[in-house]
Amino acid sequence: MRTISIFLACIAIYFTGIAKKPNGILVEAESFKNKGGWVIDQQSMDVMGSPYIMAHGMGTPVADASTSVTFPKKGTYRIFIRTRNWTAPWSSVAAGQFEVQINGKSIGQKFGISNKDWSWVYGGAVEVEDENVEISLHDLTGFNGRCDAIYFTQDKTDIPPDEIEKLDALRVNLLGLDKEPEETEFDFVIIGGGMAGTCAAISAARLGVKVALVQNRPVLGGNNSSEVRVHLGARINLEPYPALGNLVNEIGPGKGGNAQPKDYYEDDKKLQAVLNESNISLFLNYHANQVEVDGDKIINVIAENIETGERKAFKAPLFADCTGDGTIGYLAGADYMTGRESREQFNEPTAPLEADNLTMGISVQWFSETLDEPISFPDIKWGLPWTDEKSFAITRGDWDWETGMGRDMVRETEFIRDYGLLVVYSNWSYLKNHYSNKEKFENEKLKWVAYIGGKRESRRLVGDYILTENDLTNQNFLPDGTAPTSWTIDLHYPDPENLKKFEGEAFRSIAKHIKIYPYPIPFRCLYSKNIDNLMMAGRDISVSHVALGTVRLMRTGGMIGEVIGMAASICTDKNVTPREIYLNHFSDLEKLMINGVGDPDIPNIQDYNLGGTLMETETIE
Amino acid sequence: MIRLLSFFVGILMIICSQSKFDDQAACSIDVADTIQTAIYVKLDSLGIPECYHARIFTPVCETERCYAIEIDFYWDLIGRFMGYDTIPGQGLTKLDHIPFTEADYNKLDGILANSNSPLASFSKEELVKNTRSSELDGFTGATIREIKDAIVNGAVYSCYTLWHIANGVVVDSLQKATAQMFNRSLVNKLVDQNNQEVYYFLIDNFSDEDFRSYLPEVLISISNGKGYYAKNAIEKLPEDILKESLVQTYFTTSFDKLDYFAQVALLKKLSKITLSEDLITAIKKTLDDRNSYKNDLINNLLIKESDP
Repeated sequence: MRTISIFLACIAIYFTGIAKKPNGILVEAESFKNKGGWVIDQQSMDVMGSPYIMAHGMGTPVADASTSVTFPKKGTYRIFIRTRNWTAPWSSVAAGQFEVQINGKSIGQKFGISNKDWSWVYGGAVEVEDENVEISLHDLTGFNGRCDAIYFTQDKTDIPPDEIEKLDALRVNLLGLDKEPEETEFDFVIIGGGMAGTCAAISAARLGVKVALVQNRPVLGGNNSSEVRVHLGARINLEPYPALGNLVNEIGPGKGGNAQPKDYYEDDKKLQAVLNESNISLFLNYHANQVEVDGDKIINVIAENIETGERKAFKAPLFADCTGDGTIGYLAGADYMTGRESREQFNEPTAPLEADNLTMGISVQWFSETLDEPISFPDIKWGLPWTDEKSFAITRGDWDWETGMGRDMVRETEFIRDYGLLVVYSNWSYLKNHYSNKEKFENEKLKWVAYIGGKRESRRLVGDYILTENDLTNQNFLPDGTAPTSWTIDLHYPDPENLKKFEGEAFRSIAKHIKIYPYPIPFRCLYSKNIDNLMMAGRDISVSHVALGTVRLMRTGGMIGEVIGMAASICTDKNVTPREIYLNHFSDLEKLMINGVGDPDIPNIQDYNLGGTLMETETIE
Repeated sequence: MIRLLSFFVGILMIICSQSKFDDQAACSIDVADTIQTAIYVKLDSLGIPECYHARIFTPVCETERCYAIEIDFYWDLIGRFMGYDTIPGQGLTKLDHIPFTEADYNKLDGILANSNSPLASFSKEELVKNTRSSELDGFTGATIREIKDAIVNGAVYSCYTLWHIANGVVVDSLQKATAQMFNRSLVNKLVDQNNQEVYYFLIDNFSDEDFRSYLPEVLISISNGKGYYAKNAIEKLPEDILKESLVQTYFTTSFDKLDYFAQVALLKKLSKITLSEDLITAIKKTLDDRNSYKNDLINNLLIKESDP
């Protein structure tokens, strides 16, 4: 556990554009000692400036979050709350409302109501009668009210800034974040602890590499964790390297199914697999958002603890971007692609004539459980207008509850996830309160709704080779083939009917599949073209939008992780870059891929969600 | 009436069902506990096996009423079910002797043609649940949801029985029967189908002796196969066959056309064999500027050849 990040600005601090001393106390909500029922959300911190906490009660107000603060002196303080009204884009009624309490007493107004964008809301003057004060956030609605920070000041002219750069400076100064981050050195630093990053870490560690695995959530597994609940997909143990996937088999869940109860996803199994490796140093809850580059090389990646704000520097000769968003590559200046390429660019039959931004979306999955007796759900006034015709009379929302297709997957994450929440609640509230056959849902309780979105696509970093649809459909095997991708080319689009009903902002998707034979992904797709010591695994590898449709599956991502872990061992042993492996040491990698790093004796029980792969003896219908 | 599963298979089946040449018993299967049915191989005009045929006679009980089904079944030479003919006056029936409609027959075509049917996973006793349901299929219970699309309504046991006859142990028996009939003309005919599944059937069932006997056919399949077929076929080639000049000549002209993984598979096998100069030259030409396992294998070969 951390110590609470409250720092007093007693020393003279100047920050950009404000020629006066900040004279306040900044309390980060994500640093509250007791989170109660509030959850930390870091998904948009690079955009809105900080992790925040959110009352994700699915309609039932959550328990208070609280912390104690020591004030320098008693007296009257002006209080500001950094928050927003997340339903403002769609309604004049605010969904997520909360109170701030000082020593158990509300300061007298509700928050989460007024402002559409993140900003400081003045909460009035509060009397601090004792230096030690208990501050609480009291949720009023159970519908995702959110708070980033609280600011106390005695200076009437001291108003905390809304501009992100100035706010950042305020945080750095008041929270003591200006000191040099603690630096630790490793052979190989992996950012992102989804299936790809986790497999990369274990693979490298088993081959003797000292690894740091940096993950911005409290659990490993990414989209396959119990926070997102997407099951693993595609096949392992395929030609030409049947030993690839043994590690995926070792750490992956034995049960399949999207949006299922938490235990299906076996978070502990993945965590334990990592903890078993003495060569891995695991850093959970660290979000990497700064990179130091020297020429074409990354020197350091700096990550911030999403709870404490504490920063650490990870130094290494070699890095892997397994962030999904290609964050590290982006920060380091790696070439990248987003959206859909035009047909002409790679001569792909499935690509659109003109390039555009119609990416696949983010899933907010959900399910209800049946109780023995009726249970109510709030008749929300802030939901979208709903009718029987618009409603989905179901008790589970699968992958195809997908939002944000056509939006910016990095900059608009909060909006896209929020729209996902909005439609789940709008539909459910309607089913429970107004649906013509609402009796059917009388005993149904909304049990789980994801607040960490399941993202499919964002930045793809450019490697020495870009895999395209034609490689896949022509089975153009290349000599540097590695882990085989085996899912169909599975591209998602807004469901046309839903798009029409919801005025251009669809939340249901359809999938279009093109069958392919398993195809070994070239190693040149797994390292950056212009950042010499950066590899990638997962959905941010070097592929066209169309080819992403198949490689994005998590068993495939895990196998890619196994491969770059092996490559890391060669880079470390021979002091070479990934490109030099391709040019001068590829036979070493081939031998490692033949042997594999996973336990070959564990029976393959992951017989779920293998996909419509064409196997060797099948023909395209 | 001939049921056409698909255009291609349908044509084959017409040929098969109309074959006038004499049949010979190839094997037999048990279609019910006590009824053993002979399966006959049909020959083409040249006397080469064309397909398999059996007249199936089996009792089926839909709930409490039992029927006899008599129907002609056809399989191809590697045991894939091709289709069926109903026998005049012996049309299929559902519960209460209601005759199959045209739509029922069409559905049955798809059901029997699907070798991955969920019917494979259930025993006869598991097909129906004794619970209340809107999907009532008979008097005693409801068809389980998992097989709903794999049956004709009202004929769950008929579909189950026929599917297992068409796709069950018979496949193995027929493959064995075909393997026992291997001769040059049959293997030639099979290779001419240019079908990946047939190619795999051949290399999976060839003895070392067969590989030697049908070497030209094997080499044709390596040239025509897709995906990892070439790699797998090369891995199955008996080592001493690679000494033969026909093989070395073939790989001299085709080595550079093999995919990378097939090249690696071949190079691994060639390490213990004396190679013709032409083959060495052909292989050497594919040396790459960059390092690879293939290059390592080639360099090892070159060292071995220069220093025998």
